Amino acid sequence: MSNSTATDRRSFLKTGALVAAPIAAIAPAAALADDGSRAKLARLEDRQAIEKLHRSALRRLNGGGDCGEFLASADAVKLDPRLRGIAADQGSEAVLEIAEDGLSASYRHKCRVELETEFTGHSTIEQMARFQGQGSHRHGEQRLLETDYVKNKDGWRIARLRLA
Amino acid sequence: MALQAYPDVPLFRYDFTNLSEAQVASKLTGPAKDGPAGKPAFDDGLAGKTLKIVTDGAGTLSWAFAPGGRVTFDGKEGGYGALTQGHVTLIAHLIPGTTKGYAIAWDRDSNLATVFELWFGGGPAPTAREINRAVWFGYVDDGSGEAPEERHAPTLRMEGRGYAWTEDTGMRTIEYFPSVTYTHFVELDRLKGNRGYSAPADYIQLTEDLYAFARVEAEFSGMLHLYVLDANRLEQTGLRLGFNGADELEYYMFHGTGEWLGQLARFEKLGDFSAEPLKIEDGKKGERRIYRPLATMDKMTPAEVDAVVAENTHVFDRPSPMAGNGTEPSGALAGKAFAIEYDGGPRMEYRFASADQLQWRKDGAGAWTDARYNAWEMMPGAFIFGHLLQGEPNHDGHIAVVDLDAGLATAYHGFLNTPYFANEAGAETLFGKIVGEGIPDPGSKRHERTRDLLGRAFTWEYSPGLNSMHLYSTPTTTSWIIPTPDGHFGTEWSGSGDFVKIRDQLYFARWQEEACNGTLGTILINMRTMHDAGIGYHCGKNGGLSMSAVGAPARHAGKFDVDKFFPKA
Repeated sequence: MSNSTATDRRSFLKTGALVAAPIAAIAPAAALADDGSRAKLARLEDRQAIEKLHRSALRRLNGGGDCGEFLASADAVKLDPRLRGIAADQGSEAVLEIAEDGLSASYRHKCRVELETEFTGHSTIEQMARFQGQGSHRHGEQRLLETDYVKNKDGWRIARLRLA
Repeated sequence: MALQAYPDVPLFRYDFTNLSEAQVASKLTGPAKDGPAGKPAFDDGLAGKTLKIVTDGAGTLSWAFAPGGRVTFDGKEGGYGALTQGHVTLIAHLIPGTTKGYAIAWDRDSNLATVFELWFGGGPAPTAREINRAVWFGYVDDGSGEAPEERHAPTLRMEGRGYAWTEDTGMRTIEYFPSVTYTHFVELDRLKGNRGYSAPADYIQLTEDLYAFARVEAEFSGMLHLYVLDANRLEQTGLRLGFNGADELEYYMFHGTGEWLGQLARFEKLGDFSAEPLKIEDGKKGERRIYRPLATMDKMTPAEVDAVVAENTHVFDRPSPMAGNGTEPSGALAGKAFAIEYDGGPRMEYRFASADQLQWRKDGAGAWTDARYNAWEMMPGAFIFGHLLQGEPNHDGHIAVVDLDAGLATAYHGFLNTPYFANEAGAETLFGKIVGEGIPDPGSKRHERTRDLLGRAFTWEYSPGLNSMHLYSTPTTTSWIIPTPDGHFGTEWSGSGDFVKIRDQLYFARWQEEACNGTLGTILINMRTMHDAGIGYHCGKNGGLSMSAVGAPARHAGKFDVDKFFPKA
């Protein structure tokens, strides 16, 4: 996503709604069986860290900012350049799965994205739309946000973020 | 080219004289003194009266009327005309010694008035021959000291209507109102060829019955055609002011009678009656959005076209904004081979190697040529496909519809290097039959041109935010109108069209964007699925030569009953 991405207060507030979306964490049963409290605590800390990272990253995305500090690699995030905002689908439950070794996780949730198409082409219809003051168009779509996390020496980072 | 008052070429091909303001002023001198011509007896009731109109925006304007059709405005005396439509009087005059004038619609019942301030030269119109107008709303100060709060106002209530008018001059005009800011008109007598043209328009509601309408033939003669119409009685009272193609001043008032032709659907949100969707905030006096396509069109020479084609040709190899909501191309022609024998030629042989690669050979001569194509099967057995004819001097493209069940084919043959602009697409329609294994021989039967689409309007939702409406206004005209995001239809333009019936409810249509971007647009319309698939053929400086997909779901906006106005040859 480019740094020039624009957003508005409304999309930011929608991100706030995303934060409030319920998350069903699926912790591996084996990890909890052998060492009850320590493993459970570790899972809880991982989950909280991932949730926090997720919130921060999406806020940054919705604000058009640089997400570099949250990423495991420079190419971790590949999003439609038309993307202008992501908001959680309030009617569905997000799913967070943490690997048994505690070093990777996946996070999936349905969301509503706002896409802006700029009419920069040379077709007559685009020219006439621009002439009428309609240089771009925003519309919403239901999508699935797929985010993979890895834990490295700096903590949890986003390994891959895509919209399906 | 000799000057013609009403050219026998399309208006977008006619070289209207760029009159200077001095020439305009000279031509207005006599008529300003004498007043407008016209057959009907002018309303005499104004003589001896002074009409003082308080406007919102143009101050208080005062006219003193005298016997003999004389009026004094701003200290200058000239001639005027006045005609009454019900309880509305339309007054018109020019101000001697200037290039200015007024048309006033005065509702004698309510004392409300709409004032059209008119002037030639000085802008915002780009030429002195194109009339400018500013519309002011107000009321007649009757001396009572009471100022009404009501005003006449712009309206969308006229959107979607259509009328056929016959003036007392004998001139007949079909007037389609598919937009809130534009109109589309067909001069049945002044012009030959039954072409429709689009022009910016004002729509003012005076009462539930009565409306004021004004169009300016921007881009062409610059003529004003203004009238008050009674929607129930189907009568009009109007003014025509401007310079025709022979640079003769037309300045007359008229009565007319009308015929109601139908009503298109409106697409604003229910309850939305806002009527100025393209208003320019803080614009100059008279400024409005007038689409001037010739000014923005690429104009290339044959050499420039050859160069751009050599370097920058695209055939279905990039996303098309005109097909964001299109259907997927079909691979069902892959493996097939047949020839299309067009009446009068050519004979096109085809081998379809895959879903997007074919080989063609023309008239059985030379080697087979590879070409990229796309096809869409819009009804079982009925396909539209298109490809370029690489090597042809005019960079031709064939966009063909083949009905494999009937053995019939029709093509829109697009080509460049027209006499006007080398990059503007020309087109011809080819009818023929298909010869191939398992394909029935139709004998002498062919697809035929149809009037099933005449007067119809469809909306097309090409991609998010990119929508239009087509109005097939004459047997040879396609007009397109662009909506705003809230569903008001706004700017409009038009070009040559052709319409062929493929099967019941399946039609092959085209439009040419002549003197306007130069595209040849073709669509195969399925009225059963209310979807189309088509192909655009275009050449420009930036995009090069391209064939690209067109596809959109449709809504049927309505149909005007106009067949009788276009006698079959």
